[in-house]
This record gives sequence, structure tokens and C-alpha cells, in this order.
Amino acid sequence: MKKTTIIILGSVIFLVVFFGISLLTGYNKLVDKDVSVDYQYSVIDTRLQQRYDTLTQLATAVNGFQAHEQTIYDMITSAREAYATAKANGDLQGMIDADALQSIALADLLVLFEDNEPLQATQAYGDYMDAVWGIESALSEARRQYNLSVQDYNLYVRKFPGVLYASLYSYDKEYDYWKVGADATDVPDIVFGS
Amino acid sequence: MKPVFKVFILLSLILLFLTGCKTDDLYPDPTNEFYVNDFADTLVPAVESTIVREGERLYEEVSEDGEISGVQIVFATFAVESESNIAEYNITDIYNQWGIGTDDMGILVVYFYVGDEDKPEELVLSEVYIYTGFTMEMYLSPIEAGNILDETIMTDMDESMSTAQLLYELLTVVYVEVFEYEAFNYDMDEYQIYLDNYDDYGDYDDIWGWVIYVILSPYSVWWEKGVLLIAAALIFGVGGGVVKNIGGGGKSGGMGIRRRR
Repeated sequence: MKKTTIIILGSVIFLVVFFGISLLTGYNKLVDKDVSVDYQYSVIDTRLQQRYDTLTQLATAVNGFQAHEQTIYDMITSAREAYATAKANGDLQGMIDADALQSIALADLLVLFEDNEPLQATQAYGDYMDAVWGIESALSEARRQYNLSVQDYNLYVRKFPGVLYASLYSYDKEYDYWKVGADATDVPDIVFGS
Repeated sequence: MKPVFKVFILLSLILLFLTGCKTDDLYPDPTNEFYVNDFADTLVPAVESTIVREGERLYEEVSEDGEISGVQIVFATFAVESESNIAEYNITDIYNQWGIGTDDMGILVVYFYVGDEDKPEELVLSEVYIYTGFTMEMYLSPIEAGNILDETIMTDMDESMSTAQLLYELLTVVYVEVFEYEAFNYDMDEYQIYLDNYDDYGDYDDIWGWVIYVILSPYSVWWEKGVLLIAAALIFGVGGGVVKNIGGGGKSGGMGIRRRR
């Protein structure tokens, strides 16, 4: 076999192997980033469930103190129902809206607590506030991690060579960010102690 | 090409590669002790020693079914110029960067002091946070963590004593809730005596005394002297970097609690 033929054959084999490996790693990267978005979404879902449980306990705790509490309780319940419906329909914006509605209910609930001196004097009050702070902190972190993974995925499928892999493997979707109102993303500023 | 240039190019490439591998961490790496990271330089050596000793002991603890091990409780202190600077720190990011606790079984306690960081004695404790790993959330809720802070660091007790009590209360939760001990007992009066009589170098007296004895002793053989000399040189030479505690790779989901003083 001539030397030129060997070089050409070698180059062809090299290119085939090179592109084969690129296609494999490109596909794996896409799957990794896609799965990461799904995972972070599931974390938000869990945290929202935890928040719903916490808010329900809170609403029950203020029961009987204010006439306003039924409105807030209804708001929490309807936010949860709206979330469940949006989730069943795969409506991300609907879920985000429900998340924001729950945040508004929480803010209203905190105002109710602040105006309620007999309740403030109880140990239960401090415990509820701790529970709220903890879950809002965790939810805020879950939203941030979700948005970071969405950003990572979206950047990859838009940039070269990810755009080629995304097109080749039909990963043409882009995820929306979890954007709730600026106020809703903050951990409530609850002051404790002296 | 001369061999020396080849070596130079090779070393440059290795250096370039290693530089490329360096990640841009936002926060300082944990210290070699790992369990105590006193960046504000406000903790007294006795308390630091207790945190490290108890941390190492806890890390070795294994549950009866063998499912849980490598639990870590880590303390960190930071000095900031003003309270508004505290918002620049994300406790979850610090937790995850340090990888506290095996299988997300970790607790991170962070103290923020406000003032001039060059004058540790003038720093004032402003905020305290307790953050838990994902799995630890099952055992230490924000309510429990908040109550522990109220009974320790939020009281008028001396800061060293309250930090020690905070550690012991967290250990109580871990040993009783996680490892199912019947109880975990500690005595703060005893601890006060320990604190008052603590010798900064006391922890090393025994081992270093033994090392010096073996090296100088006419009864020890040459290889014993050699091994100990090399070990001692390494420990002093790299600042104690030979024996290094590290994180268990745990992650936190941001569940925690805060108290303001």
C-alpha cells in the first residue's frame, strides 16, 4: 500500500472516530443539561408542597383571631389548586403565577401575624416564623438553581457546537425561566430576638 | 531543539493546563481543620479545639444499620464592614463549595461580625445562620435550629460559652435523632473550667513530647528517628497540611434559619 493511501485512510479513520466521539459526547451533554433542568424543577415542586403545608398550618393557627383569615386561607387553597391544574397541563407560567399568588398570601399572613399581639406572645409564633423563613430560603434557592440550570441548557443549545447537536437530536426546545415578582423571590425579613 | 527547551515547553504546558483547571470559587476554601473556619479571627483556641475534636469524632460515627455516617458540623466566621455586606454571602453556596457532610448529612453554622476586620477584638457579632444539608433537613428543622440559637447564641452568655453550647446542642440533635442515642449529656460548668484552664498548646503536648523523645532517645532505631523527622518537617513545612480534614461532598438546598443580634 502506498504511503499516500495510508495517510488518507488514516485521516479518514481519525475523522470518523473524532466525529463519532463528538456526537456521543454532544448527545450526553444535552441529556445531562436537560435532566438537570428536570431535577431542579422537581426540587421547586417539592419546596412548593412544603410551603403549602407550612402555610396551611399557619392559616389554621390564626383561625379565630381575625375575620380576614378566611380570605387568606382561600387564597392559599386557590393558589394550590391553580398550581396543581397548571402542573397537570404542563403550564409553566401558570405554575409560576400560582407560586407568586402563594407568596402574596404569605405576605398577607405575615401582616396578620404582626397585627396579632396575643399570637405574637406565644412560642408558636416564633416557631411559625422560623418555618416560614426556612422554607422561603429553600424555595428561593430552588428557583435560583432552576434558573441557573435553564440558563446553562439554553446557552448550550444556542451556541456552537451545541446548536448542531440540539438540531440533530431534536432538542429544539428552550426552557422558560422561573420568574416571579421581585418581592416574591426574597426571603421575608423577619426580625427575632432583642 | 535542545532538551532544556523541550522540558521548558512541557512544564509551561502543564502549568497552563493546571491554571485552566483552577475553578473560580467565590468563597475561601475551608481550612485544613475543616470543622472550624475562623476567618474573622474571633473564636478562642479552646472553642476551636472543641469544635474540631467533636467534629472528627462525629465524622467517625456510624449508625447501627450502617446506613448513615460521615455527618459533619462546620463553623465559620466572617468579618464584614457593615451589615449590608452580609447579603453578598450566599450560605448555600458556601455549604456546597465546601461539600459538608456525606450524603448531604451536614450542618453549617456561620457567624457574621461587623467592624474593622483588622481589629478582631472590636468586631461585633451581627448575624448567625444555621444551614442544613438536604438529608439533614429531616432531623433538624428551621424551628429546632431557631430554638437552639435562641437558647445559646441569642442569650447574654459569654460568646465562647454560647458557641460551645450551640455545638453541644447540635451534637445532641445529631446523636439522639440521627444515631438514636438515648441521650447526649454535656456539662457547661465543666466546660467553663476547661475554658478557664485551656493551654493553647496543650492539645499537642503529648504527641510532640513523644516525637522529641523518640528522636533524641538513644534507644530508638535510626529509621524511627528518620520517619518522625520527615513527618515533623512535613507538618511544620506545609503548615500542618499533611493531616487534613475534608468535606464529605454534601449539598444543601438552602434550608436554614437566621438570627440577628
